[in-house]
Order: sequence, then structure tokens, then C-alpha cells
Amino acid sequence: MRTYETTFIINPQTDDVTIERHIGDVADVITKNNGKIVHEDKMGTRRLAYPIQGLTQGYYASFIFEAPSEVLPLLDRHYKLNEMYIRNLTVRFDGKLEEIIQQENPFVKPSVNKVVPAEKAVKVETKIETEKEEKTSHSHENTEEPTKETPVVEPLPEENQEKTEDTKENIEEKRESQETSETNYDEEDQL
Amino acid sequence: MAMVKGKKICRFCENNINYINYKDERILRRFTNERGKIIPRRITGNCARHQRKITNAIKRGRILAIIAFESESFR
Repeated sequence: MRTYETTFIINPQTDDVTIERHIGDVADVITKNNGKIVHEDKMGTRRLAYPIQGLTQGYYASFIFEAPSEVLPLLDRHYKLNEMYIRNLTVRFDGKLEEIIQQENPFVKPSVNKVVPAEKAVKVETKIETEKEEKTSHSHENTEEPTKETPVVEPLPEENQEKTEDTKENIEEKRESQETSETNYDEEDQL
Repeated sequence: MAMVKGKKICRFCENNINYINYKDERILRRFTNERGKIIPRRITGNCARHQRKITNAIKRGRILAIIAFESESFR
């Protein structure tokens, strides 16, 4: 029993029901052959880096599972027969599950997530002390929602949001891009 | 320039990261230049072990259309 990881892309130009049905079919192929799904990740519709079969978007999903090696040709057969699966990749999984759950928010510094709810909590407490009892119930509801939303950072945010967040990373990226651009010029001159 | 960067510590070794997720676009783009080419190790400061993992992750990400094989240059 080894751990594997499959990721696949589904044609997004259909209903949500059919997309989930196809995801369930893949899970059934695994579980019906003495497999056990350990982690599931539905990344949703994303823009593709290059067009595949004339499409510019795709619905991504992935499974991490433990199964005997006889499952793999069955999976490939399942992907091949159905035209809804645009692309797929099955790979042996070398990492640890704990690292993946931590890496669902990769390169997002934990201090950033901790600072925001703490500040809001402090502000809320001061407001509660000043306000009356009727307003405290409403303030509790309002505080719970943003604190739940802010630590949950999407693993694949849009490009516009990336530019605003993580200014230090942008500075590092600019340095690297400048350096690489300089090296490219040198190589091209030599060529 | 290469000598200065040689003293940098590998950011993955610093944070004890062993698994690099090939489905994460942000990490993969950080190690590719504008044309989509993989940045060499002497510039990124990675150790050999993590540079190999990064290259494998980038190649898998290219197959899954998370990053491009090559992007058009602006020349």
C-alpha cells in the first residue's frame, strides 16, 4: 500500500452536478479497489496557462490516497475513456500530510494572520466596554465573521490580489527579476 | 555577484520545508523568470537538493497548465 496523488482537470463548461459526479467517479474507482482516500482538494475553476483543447479555463481537483499498485492502470483507463477529463497526472506522494495542511497557506507569514484578528479583537473589546448590552450581541456577530475570514487565505488567489499582498515578497521578486533580466541580456549578447 | 549570493542560506532549509507542492502557482512562479525559464541556483540561493525538487515541481506544474512552458517575450 503506497500513497499516491492524482490531479485532474475537468471541462468547466458544464453544470456543477456533472462536475461533482465526475469527481465522485474517480473516488469510487479508488475506494472500490481497496483504496483509502486520505486528502481531497477541490481547487475550483482556474485559468489555464495555455489553451488545452481550445479551452482557457479548467476545474482542478486532486486526491491523495493509499492503495495497492493495481489501482493505477484502472485510474488511467477511467481517465482515458471519458472525454470530460482534459488532463490528469498520477504521481507517487513523497511528502507528509502535516506539511500539506500547513502549506495550504504557503509563504503567508503567520505573523500577518495573527496580527489582524488580534487588532480587531482589541478594538472590539474596547467597544464592548463602552457600548451597552444590546449592542454587544451585534458586535459579537460582526467580529466573528471577519476573524474567520482573514486567516483563511486562498491557496490560489487572483493575480490582482497578489500584487497588493506580501510587499516583502514583491521586493524579493523584483530583485530576482532584475537579476535574471540582466543575466538574460548577457547570454543573448554572447549568443 | 555570484560570490555574494553564495553566502545566502537556502530558504527551504531555513524553514525545514521538505515537500514542495507543484500545484501552488506562487512558489513556482517565484523560481521562473519572465519567459517561463527556470532560474539557476546561483541566483536563487537554493541548495542542490531543493533546486532539484523545485525543477521537478515546475515540470509537473507545466504539464498541468499551472504555469506555462514558455511565455512570449516583449521584444
